[in-house]
Amino acid sequence: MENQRQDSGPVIRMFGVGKRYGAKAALSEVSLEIDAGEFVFLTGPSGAGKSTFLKLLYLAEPPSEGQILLAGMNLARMGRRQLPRLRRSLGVVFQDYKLIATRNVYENVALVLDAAGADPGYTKKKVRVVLKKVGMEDRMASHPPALSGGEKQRVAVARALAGDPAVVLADEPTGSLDPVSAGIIMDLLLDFHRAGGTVILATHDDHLLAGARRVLVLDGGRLVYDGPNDLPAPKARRP
Amino acid sequence: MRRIFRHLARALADIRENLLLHALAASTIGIIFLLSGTFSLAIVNLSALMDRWHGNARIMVYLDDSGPGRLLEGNLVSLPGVKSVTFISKAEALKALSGNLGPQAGLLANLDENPLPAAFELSVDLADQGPEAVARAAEAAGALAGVSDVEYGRQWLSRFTMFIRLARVAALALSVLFLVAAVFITASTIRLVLYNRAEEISIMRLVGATEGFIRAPFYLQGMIQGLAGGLFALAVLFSFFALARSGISGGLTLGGFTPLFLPVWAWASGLAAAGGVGLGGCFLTFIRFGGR
Repeated sequence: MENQRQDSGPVIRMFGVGKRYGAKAALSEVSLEIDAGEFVFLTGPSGAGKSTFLKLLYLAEPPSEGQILLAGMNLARMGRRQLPRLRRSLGVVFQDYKLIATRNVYENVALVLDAAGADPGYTKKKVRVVLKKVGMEDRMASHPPALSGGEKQRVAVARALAGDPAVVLADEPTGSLDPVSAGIIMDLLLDFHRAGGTVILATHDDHLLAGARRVLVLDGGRLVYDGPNDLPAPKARRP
Repeated sequence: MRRIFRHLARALADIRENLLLHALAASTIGIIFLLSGTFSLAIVNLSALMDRWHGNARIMVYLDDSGPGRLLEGNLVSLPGVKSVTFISKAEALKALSGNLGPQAGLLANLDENPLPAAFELSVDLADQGPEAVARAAEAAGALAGVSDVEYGRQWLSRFTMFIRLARVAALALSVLFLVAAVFITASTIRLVLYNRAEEISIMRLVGATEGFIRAPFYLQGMIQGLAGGLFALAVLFSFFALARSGISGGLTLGGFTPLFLPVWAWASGLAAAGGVGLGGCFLTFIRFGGR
């Protein structure tokens, strides 16, 4: 599924998925389908299992029970050699950015393409395009420690988009940002969605959920709601 | 090819970032290879010296007074490896002894008859056939009728040959031990670099980098470190050798023997082994600490 977007049909299917850490269940009996091209918000209080949900999707951790199918691929049966390919087919935006401090902005974004064995000429062009899109073209030579939180997250989004993924997973991408920076990040993710991409965005910020077509609510590791959010948008924040 | 250059650039950047660490490890590997190279150089030269002595080996064949005497010359000259045969009559032997005794030569004047046997001095060219060939030629000469005794420094030669063989085995065993030590030194260095870059590596894995992509620069670092150590050892060894040789040509003598440096295949193998040590150390690190 790498670099291919499906026009319709489920891109993610979960059947009775659970994750335990010792005796504690972080996620229990989650079953759902997410269609290609959907923008899904994942919300719930702290410790509800939002990050665990995403980690299972990019196989940072294996599920303790249940099955996950990503573009028809059963993640439980995925070998170690296939794992990098799976991860390259996803764009992941981490709350703590996960940028490499010793590499500059350009190198951080190019890493995804280098790892995929892309042609250096293509990589150069593509990295410039995505950095321009996130408004970081003029900071290519800067290193992450010299960037603000909002700038770091924009670079992280650029890195997530650089490999033309089918699905973007974003874990609290605006959690530590000011409203303006949060708005920029949301616009970038919405642009990706409008271009046909699937987005799963974990947040505990109710302001982001206004008008959302699909919201998954987790509580105590269980999926307690799956449907549209009909609440009006809070006044103070966008979108 | 582009990918290799990219990994090489990454490896060189990592070496620059941890220059002191890599320099220390490369120096330690260099010292290890220098020790190993010194042993090898000593053995190469001792072996060459021994071959030279064999090449100029002389066998003294003493004759019975009642035997065919000088008529044996034809038999002796046809023995394998014998270059030339010189007959020394009883009178010549006595004259030589008298000359060697110097002022005490008068002692010989009281002898009723000459007690020394006539002899043949055989000059042997057995450089390519080893010390056993000298013994074989001496044995063949001793089996001839009319020969009372044969002398060729058997014990000394066999002891020296045994010493060289033991030295070769010891050098080989030490070299293997040194190589293992060098592998562990490289492994420790790479492990430290891995720890330094643990977060970076985990990020690379999260964004889909393959293990090959992650590990290739480390393998290159290990190989560069090993090769640098090997080159350091080779340079120091050659410098000391050149100094020693100039000392010999400037006054010291080894009986006309010119010291030899390691043959090309030997030092090229040493360099390859040094590079291999780097790769091996890296491999060991990833086996023990490379899990995701």
